Amino acid sequence: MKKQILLNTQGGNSYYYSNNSSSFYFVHPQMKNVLDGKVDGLEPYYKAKVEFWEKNGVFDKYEPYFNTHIEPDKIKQSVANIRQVVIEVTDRCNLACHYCIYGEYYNNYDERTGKQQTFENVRALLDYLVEIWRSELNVSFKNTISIAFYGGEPLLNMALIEKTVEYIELAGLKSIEFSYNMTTNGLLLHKYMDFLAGKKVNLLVSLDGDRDSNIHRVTRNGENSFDRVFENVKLLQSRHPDYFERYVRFNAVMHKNCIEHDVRRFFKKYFNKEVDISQLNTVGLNPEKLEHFQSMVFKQRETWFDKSKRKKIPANLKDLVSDRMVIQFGAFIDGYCGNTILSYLDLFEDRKRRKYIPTGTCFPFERKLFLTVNGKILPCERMGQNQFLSKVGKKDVVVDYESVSAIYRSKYEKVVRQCRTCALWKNCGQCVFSQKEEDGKIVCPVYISWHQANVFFSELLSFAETYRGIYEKVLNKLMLV
Amino acid sequence: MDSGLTQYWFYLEPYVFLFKGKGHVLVYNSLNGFYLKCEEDILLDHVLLKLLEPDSGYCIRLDSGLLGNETVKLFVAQIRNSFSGDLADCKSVGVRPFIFKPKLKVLPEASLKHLKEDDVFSGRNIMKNLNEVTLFLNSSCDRNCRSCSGYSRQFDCCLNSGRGEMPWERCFNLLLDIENSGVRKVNFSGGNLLAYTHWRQLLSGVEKFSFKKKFYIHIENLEPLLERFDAFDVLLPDVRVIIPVWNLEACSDECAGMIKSYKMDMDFVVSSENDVACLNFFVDRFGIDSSKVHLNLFYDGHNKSFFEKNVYTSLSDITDYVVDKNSIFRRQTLNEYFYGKLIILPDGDTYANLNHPCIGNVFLQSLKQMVYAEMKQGKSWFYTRDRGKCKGCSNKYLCPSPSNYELVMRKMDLCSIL
Repeated sequence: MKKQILLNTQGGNSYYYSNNSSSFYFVHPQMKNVLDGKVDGLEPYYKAKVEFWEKNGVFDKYEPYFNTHIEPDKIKQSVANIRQVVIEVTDRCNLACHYCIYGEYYNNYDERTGKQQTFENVRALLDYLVEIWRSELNVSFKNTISIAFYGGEPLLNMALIEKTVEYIELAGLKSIEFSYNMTTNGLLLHKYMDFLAGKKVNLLVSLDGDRDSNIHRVTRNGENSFDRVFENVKLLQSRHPDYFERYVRFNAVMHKNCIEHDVRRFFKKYFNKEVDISQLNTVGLNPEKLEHFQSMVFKQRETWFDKSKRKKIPANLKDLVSDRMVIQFGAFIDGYCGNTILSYLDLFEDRKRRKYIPTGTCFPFERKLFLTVNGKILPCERMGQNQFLSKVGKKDVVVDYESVSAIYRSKYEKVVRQCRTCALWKNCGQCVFSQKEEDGKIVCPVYISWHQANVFFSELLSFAETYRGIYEKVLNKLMLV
Repeated sequence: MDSGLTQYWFYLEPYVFLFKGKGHVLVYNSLNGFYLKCEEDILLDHVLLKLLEPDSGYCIRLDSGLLGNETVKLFVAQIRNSFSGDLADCKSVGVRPFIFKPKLKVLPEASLKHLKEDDVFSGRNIMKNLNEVTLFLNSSCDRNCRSCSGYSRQFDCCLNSGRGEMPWERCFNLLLDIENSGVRKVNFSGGNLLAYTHWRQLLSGVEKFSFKKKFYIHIENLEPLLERFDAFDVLLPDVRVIIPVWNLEACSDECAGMIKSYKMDMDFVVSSENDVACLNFFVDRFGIDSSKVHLNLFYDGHNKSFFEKNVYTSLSDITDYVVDKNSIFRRQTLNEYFYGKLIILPDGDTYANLNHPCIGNVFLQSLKQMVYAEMKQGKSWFYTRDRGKCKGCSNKYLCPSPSNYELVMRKMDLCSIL
């Protein structure tokens, strides 16, 4: 019996992870020796059990089949069934937040020139998309497509937004419902709130909490924007209470000057809202500013479990669902316990014949399509804008799907070798476009071997041992997107 | 606590299922098919109920006192001997181990049933769930088979539906829609499919589609045309000949010979032991390849004993085979026979199952709308055994999903177990 890698938890137990059967097996102390290859003088029962597991493929190696080629037709179909179109309406902003992804700490974006998006570009893109949405490639029903207005500060180009909404409404696509989304710093809310409420725009207001927590969200004069934003949001709340309740959310960025508990309490107290807490983006950081970024601004979010050290799980799931540790645990269960399906068709499929795409990169245009102020088309606004897939032409949009397929293939082929032996392949959160390329190779920053995964799995198994009720709660309630 | 008793952790393996039944719990090992029905017993019930608790992690504490009870002791021994679980002295392990129970989680995009109407996941890529479509293109047929309307409710067959004929343009547009939706298989049937007014257009039109095709034709409608195969010899591997065994004498030697030489699939309809005997004789006589012979048992309302012998599930039918974890999950979630299938009559009326009400008309609503409706609130695709007499049975997910026979016989428990 070949020696097997065992996971050891903080609680003092050992488990074996079978990649082939996607299951964790508790290793009885007497079985441990067998799995360590020491078979002499052992109870026949455990030898027999190991043989039983061996016969049923528990120790078999499973290497997933990775397909680096995406059919161009499938990419086009992806566009036909898209979830979101993100339009960068301007790259101007009336704030100069210290941690802005278009600020001094980052270097993977087109230079910000105070440019406004043109309606010609938007119209060309929408005309192109509407044609595809009307085609037989649209295999969705009651598809809701979100049109997201992005910036800079989107409210600085309100004219374009109004024109875009009007154009979409005139297109009269009955089979598709459109919703509108916007993230705003709130400085100009007082001017445009009636329109936003009238069109039921899903509004995400960026505010880091009270005045002290908001210290990095400053005007170009270095003035804290809190007072003005707070006043505007209060006005919105009083003038459009129903809209405010249903369509307005808040996002606070976690940084060194924030205490998460205080931030949450602030939003609950003044707006009766649960705030979304997000981490500062660590993709595309300027190496020269990295140290400064880490010392002055960056702060890893705590988990509820770090803070409380309590063993009792709160009855209110709301407290849990946004917790980083619970989310991680949920992803772990989905990826490694063999009990989660993404589609009912998975119940008919032989897992061993399934083909996977390397990394956690979204399928091209499956989630969204992003149009920059410079007319570039990308699959996501978080990608470096130098990696665009297409561009709006002088009069129209032409997306060369063969070319898009080739771009993805080229990326995947540079990294797939690592994916084949990586323990995180089922749970990969890496976007291949965010990975650095050197000498024609991509080195994945989160690659871990199955041996190294020991630590990662052990931590999550320890979590399961300690907070026993979380597993079924996660199965029943927590949905990961 | 120190009671002087030795404390043990008793746990089940992640491939073991616990199914509650009336007055008992069934333990099932999905790796080797070990099947243990635990009848009511105060102490054993206590053990099993504890294991079933959500935060048990499939592991509970037992002390040596409890293990001294004969019933519990026997139970633990059976679990251990079948490698379905084990006992570990608490002093020799760390904290209480945690085993991930086999419980299915369906991610949001799949599970329309639990989403609100306005949820953005509703309906995206919905058509990937449609796998097979059966098109009845016409109704006209001169055969007057005695149970015509009954056959197609039980298996794939022809049907004189009395719903006219599907216009070619509508048929072709529907096929385009089906092709674009990624459907993998289309069955064509009638009436007498060969009497479809646009038969030749159909023949030349379907070639360009990539889905698999099957053409269902009654033997008595096929025979007159067998000599004129130039009309459709390209289709021959895709033809399924429907042969009610009581009509076997209508099948001439030449006909049987030609069917065999053209390697067509033969769907024999049988409803008695005598029919089966006749069929075997026929197959032997003509030396027909057994892979081309398919049996469709037909319930005629008077042959319950035939069904009891050939269709009803016995306990050994369950215990003789291993039902793996994925199969159990599948049967817990949907109907493995009905899922992903639609049936369309010549007038466009569409069914997920002919034994259930019509779900819409494909000429008035889109195919997508109907797939969405079936996914969201339909009767057929998610018709599991969690109903009727099977609801309280611990074997319900070890048995295959309900078939058309359960619907036609209006009886869920086609078994000798209950």
